[in-house]
Amino acid sequence: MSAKNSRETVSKFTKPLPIEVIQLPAVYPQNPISWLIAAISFVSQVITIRNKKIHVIFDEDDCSFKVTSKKDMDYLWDSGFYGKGSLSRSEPTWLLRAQKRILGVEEPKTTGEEIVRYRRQLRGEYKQERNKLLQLERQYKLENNEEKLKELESMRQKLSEQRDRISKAGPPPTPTQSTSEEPKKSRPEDEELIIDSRTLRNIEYLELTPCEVLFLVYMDAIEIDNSNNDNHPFTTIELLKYLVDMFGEVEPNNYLLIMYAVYFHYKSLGWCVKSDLKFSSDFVLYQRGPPFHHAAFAVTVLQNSSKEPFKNWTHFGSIYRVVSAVKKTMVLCYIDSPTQEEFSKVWDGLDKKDPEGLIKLLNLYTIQEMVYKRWTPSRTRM
Amino acid sequence: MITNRATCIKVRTNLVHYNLWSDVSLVEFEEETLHEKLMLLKGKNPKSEEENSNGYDYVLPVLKQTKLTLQDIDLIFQHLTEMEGYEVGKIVLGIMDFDGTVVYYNIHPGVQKPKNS
Repeated sequence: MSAKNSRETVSKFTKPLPIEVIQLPAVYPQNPISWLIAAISFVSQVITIRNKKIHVIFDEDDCSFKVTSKKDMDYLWDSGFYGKGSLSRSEPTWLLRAQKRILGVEEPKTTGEEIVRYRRQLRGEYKQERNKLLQLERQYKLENNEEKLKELESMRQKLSEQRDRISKAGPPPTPTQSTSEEPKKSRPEDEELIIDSRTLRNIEYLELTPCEVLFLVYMDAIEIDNSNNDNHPFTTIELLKYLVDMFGEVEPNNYLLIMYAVYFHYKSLGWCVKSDLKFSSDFVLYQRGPPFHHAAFAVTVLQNSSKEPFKNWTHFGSIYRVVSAVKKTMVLCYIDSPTQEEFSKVWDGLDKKDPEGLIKLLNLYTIQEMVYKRWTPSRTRM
Repeated sequence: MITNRATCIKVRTNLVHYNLWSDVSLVEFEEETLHEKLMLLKGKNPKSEEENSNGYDYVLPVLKQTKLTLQDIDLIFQHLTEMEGYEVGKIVLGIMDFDGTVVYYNIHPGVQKPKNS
């Protein structure tokens, strides 16, 4: 995650979906060699292609969808950024970090978490300096010392430069300062994970959201065993019905249906959609994915249901405060759901073997967006 | 839907192996006015700056759509203080999303002077 848009990053994440596609070179009907090249290419791709669908475990105890094999976790993350490491901010990197922290293994790769921690440390240092400046300023003002006050200008200038550098700061210089400075105390919680001096038990898994699993099952990229049906994999419609039921009554304003309609709307327009509890919104939209740019949009979903309590302007104001502080645009996403009658007509006709029924259902919903932005009259006046 | 216990276990794992808390244990109590058994996590935050409450913090794991009223929170403070034998001045809400993300918010009984940041 260190070098954004580096050649390595761009070439690593080429696939938007965890689906294998056979790509053939151009075939010219009058040129037999091109046929031969195409045939060889086809055969070699068929041999090397990953033909097994990713197996996702549905944990009924905590209603979560888990991927535990390292290979599958990496594959799902690298092809479209699906899921979230259960012990990481996004990409599953816990094992790497734990190996560095507990076993002292040296790893050249810097994880996103380490960069975040380093930047927080820099921000802490900046704030200390700023407090010093404010204190001096107060003191000089009380003393009415004009000269000294003027001298503070250069300090202020330096500080603002220091602040600007933080958000661009790359990987920490030495292998994370905090680990080298703090005396190493081993926690009993960590001891339990050690297999031998070089290996740790990996307790991290990739967790997929209900929206992601429904989308990936519809795309035929993963399979999930249905324990209520002899462990046969869920079909799209079976999974849809199961999830809808899990989130409440079967009705047009079912939480899962609303969220999935919005998720699918942005997915089909090419966005990388992730959930966004951290910034008090429902989804964040990445143009390509987390390693490339920060997510520029935070989406808040609003339904036309009378069941949903009225959200007043203070509510939107609070969300905006959070969203604007992380330099995102706040998008209000209005979703209109069909009447119960229209809905039941399609819902009751769903055939468990026809995944397109899901799309028919989604077509009953309409979505409109609006950007919410604070307007400050004094700053906007020319 | 996801049970209290399952949420609790997930938040516990997050505290221990992501935020590196130590000595995390479960605190449970019955409360008639609340329908379910209440579960909180008690543990030591390595970054905690507060000196009181024996160095322990209390985390209430909840789901994204859990409804919690001020009365509920007040009851929790009362119970905790009673059980622990000292005034608990802060609980941390551990709010969990459907992708396993947990975000933490501090709750104090009453107005709290903001930290100078």
